[in-house]
Amino acid sequence: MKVLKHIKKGNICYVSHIDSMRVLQRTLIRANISVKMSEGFNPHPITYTSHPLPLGIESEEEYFVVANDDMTADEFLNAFNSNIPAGMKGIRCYDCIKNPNFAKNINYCEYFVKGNFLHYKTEIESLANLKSLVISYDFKKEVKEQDIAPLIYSINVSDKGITMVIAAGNPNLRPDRLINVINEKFSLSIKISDIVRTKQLVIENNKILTAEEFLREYIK
Amino acid sequence: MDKELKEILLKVEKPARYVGGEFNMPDMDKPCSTRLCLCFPEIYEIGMSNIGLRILYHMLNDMEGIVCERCFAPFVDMGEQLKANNIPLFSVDSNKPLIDFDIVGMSIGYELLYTNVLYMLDLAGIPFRAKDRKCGNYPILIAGGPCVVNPEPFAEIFDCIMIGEGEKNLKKFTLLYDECKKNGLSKEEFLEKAASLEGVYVPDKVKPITQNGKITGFTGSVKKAIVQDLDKAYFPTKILVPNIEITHDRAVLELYRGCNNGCRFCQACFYYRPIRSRKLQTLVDYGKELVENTGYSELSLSSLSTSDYVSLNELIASLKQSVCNGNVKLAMPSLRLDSYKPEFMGSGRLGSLTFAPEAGSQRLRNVINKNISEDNIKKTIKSALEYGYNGFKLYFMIGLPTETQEDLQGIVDIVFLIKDMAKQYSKNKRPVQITVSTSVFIPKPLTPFQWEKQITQEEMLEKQRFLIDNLHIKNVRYNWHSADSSIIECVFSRGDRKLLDVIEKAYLSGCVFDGWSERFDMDKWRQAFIDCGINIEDYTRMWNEDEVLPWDFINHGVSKKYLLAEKHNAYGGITTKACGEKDCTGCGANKLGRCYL
Repeated sequence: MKVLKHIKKGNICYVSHIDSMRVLQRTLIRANISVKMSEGFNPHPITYTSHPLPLGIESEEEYFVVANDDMTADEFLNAFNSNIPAGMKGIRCYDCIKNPNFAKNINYCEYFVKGNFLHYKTEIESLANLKSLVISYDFKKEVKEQDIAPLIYSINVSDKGITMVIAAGNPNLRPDRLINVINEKFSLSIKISDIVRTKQLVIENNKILTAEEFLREYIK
Repeated sequence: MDKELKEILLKVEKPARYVGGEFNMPDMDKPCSTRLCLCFPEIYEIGMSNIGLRILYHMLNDMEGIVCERCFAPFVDMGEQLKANNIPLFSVDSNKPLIDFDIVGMSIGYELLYTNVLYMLDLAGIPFRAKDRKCGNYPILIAGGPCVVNPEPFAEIFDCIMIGEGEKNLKKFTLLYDECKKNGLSKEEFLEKAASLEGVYVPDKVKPITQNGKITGFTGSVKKAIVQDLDKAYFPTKILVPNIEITHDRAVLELYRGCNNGCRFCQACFYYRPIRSRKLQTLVDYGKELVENTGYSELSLSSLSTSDYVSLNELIASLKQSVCNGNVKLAMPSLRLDSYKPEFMGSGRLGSLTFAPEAGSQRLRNVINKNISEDNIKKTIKSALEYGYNGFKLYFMIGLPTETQEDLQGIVDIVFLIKDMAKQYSKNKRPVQITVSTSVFIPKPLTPFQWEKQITQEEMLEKQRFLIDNLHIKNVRYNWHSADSSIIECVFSRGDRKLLDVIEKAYLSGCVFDGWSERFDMDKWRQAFIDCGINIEDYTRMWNEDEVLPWDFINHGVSKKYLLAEKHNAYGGITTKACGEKDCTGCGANKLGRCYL
C-alpha cells in the first residue's frame, strides 16, 4: 500500500474533488502504476483519498492511498510526478503495510489565512472558546443551521495570519463557513481563495498527531 | 490570477472550465514572437472534444517562437459575471485577455454558433466588424472550421478566413504573420501579403458583386488548401487531458478525410475531399502513443465513415493486440449499415446499435444515394439480433427532395420489420428497444442538393405529427429535431453577407447558445429578420440552377457541374457508386490533390 502526500495548488484548486479523483486515477494509468483491483461484482482499482477539499481552496497536504506493492516508494513518487498536472505534485511517498484509513482517522484539519489581523487577535481567538455558535447556510436550496462551536479546536492569530484547526470528516466544518463568521463579526473581507489547508490532523484525548506522525505505525 | 477573478470563479458552475492546467499543457512561457488564441464558440466540454482544435493547438505550440492558447465560450453564468465585473474575456491557458493576442482565431463548426462568435467578441471588447477595427490596436481576427464552406454570413467579422485544412493554411499564415511582425509591417501590409496564400480568404479583398440585391459575380476567388499527404501530416499524440469530464472524453485517431459514398445531402462528404487516409502502421503507432500519453481507456476510430477504411479489420486486430491489452476499449462511431459487423464491437456489455438509413423507402434512398438496400438492412438486423443486441437507434431525415407519404410510412415499416425479426431471432427475453430520431433536411452548400428548397414549418410539423402518431408503439421512442432551429440553420448555411445584420440583431436581443434547444428562441430570431427587412423564405426557397451562389467564389475541389449532374441523377432515381481507387466518379476534388483510399 502506497500513501502519497501531495499538494493541490494554483488553478487546479478549481477542479472539484470528484474530478480530482479522476485526474489521480488517470495519472496512475499514464504512469503505468499497477493497482490491485477490488474483488466485488464490479472490480475497480483500490484507491483512497483524504477528506474532500472545498472548491477554490489550496492545500499543502493531501493524501492519495493506492493499493500497490510492486514498486518502491521512490519509484512510485517519481512515476507519479512525471504524470500528474503541475498543481498536484507529490511531496513524499510512504510504503505502508495497510490502508491508514485517513477518511476515518483524520478528524481535524489546519487552515491558514495570510494577512495581518492582530488588531482583532483576542476577539477572533475567543471564537474557539464559545459554548455555542450557530450559523446558517444554504444547502441544496434549503437554509440549514449548525452549531459550529464544538467543531472549532483552536484559532490562533499571529503577525502572519490566522491559523485555525477545525473538525474534518464527520462532523465537518467547512473553513469558508468559519471565515464568513469572522468576516461578518469584524467587518473583514477574507476571500475563500485566501484560505490554504496546511495540515491534516488526528486529535484524540487532546493528543495531537499530524497525519504523517499518525502514519508511522503503518510504515513498512 | 487576480483576486477578483478568483472570487468570480467560485460563483459559477464548473470553474475548471476557465482555468486550464491540464496534463500535457505545452510551455506557455517559452520565448515567442507571435501569440495566438484559438477560440471555440461553445463551452469547454464541447470545444475540447473537437479534434480539429486539438490538432491545430498542438501544431502551433510545436512551432518555434509561436505560442497558441485556447478560449471557449463562457457559459451564461460566467458571461454575466465577466460583464458585471468588467473583466474582458481571457484565455484558458494563461488567463490573458483576448485583446492582447496577435491573432485570435474562431473555429466555427455549426451555423447556430454564429451568435456565440459575437458573444465572445463582445465579452472580449473586440468590435464585431473588421472595418470597425481598422483603427486601434486589435488582434488579427481569423476564422476556420467546417462552416467556411460558405463563410459569407460571418465574412465581414473577420480579417481573414482560412478555407480548407489548418495544418496547411494556418501554419503558413502564422509564419507569414511572424515574419511581417518582426519586419515591422502594418496590419494592412500583412493582409495584402496573406491574401495571396493558398486557402486564405480576405473578405475585404474578395467581394461579391451585386445588382439589384442579387449576386452576379465576385471580385476574386479562393482555392481551398489541403494537406496532400495525410499520412505525413501533423497529428498530436501528446494531447491535453482535461481535468473535468468532457463530451468526448477519449483519445481519437483520425483514420482518413473525405468520404467515398457521396450521399447527396452530406456536406462533409464533399467538403473533405479529396479522400486521403493514414497508413495502418502510422495509425497503430499513434494509437499506442495516444493511450500511453493520456491514460485514456477509450480509443475512438474517427472519420466520416470509419467502416470504409480499407484495412479496418487489420487495424482493429493490430490495435487490439498492441494497445488494448484488456484495459483500453475501441470505439467506432459512424459505422455504415451495410458494412456493419457485430464483432467489431468486441466483448463487453452489448448496448444498442446505431444506424442511419436516412430514408424510409428504397426509392428515396436511391434519390439521396444512400446505397443500402432493403436486404442489407434485414441482414444487419438479423446478425445484430443473433449476436445479442437488444436495442436499435435509427436516424432518418424528413423533408428530403421528392419525399412522399409512402417514404414516411417506410420509416414506420422499418420499425415493424425490426419488431417482427426480433420475435424470430432475438436471443434476449427482454423486448427490443427501438429509438427513432428524425432531423429535418437542410440543403447545404457544396452538395448536390444545394439548390433544393427546405420544406415549410407547417410541413415539418405535419410530418413529425404523422410519425408521432404512427410510432406510438410499445418499446419504441421517437425523437425529432426542432423545426425552428432547422430553419435558422438552413438560412445561415446558404446565407450571404446581408445576414450579418440579422446575427447582430439576434445577439443583441439576447440570442446566444442557440445550439442548446432550451436556449433557442425563434421569436427573437423572427423579430431580428423583420427588423433587418430580410425574408426567411428568400433563403429556404428552391434556388435556380443558373443562380450565382454566395459561395461560388471558393474552389472547394468538387465542381459545380458535378454537383448539378448528381442533382439530376437524384431526380432520376439513379444512384452513383461509391468512388474507388480505379473508378473515379469525376467530382473534381482530385484537381486539388491525389485521391487515395
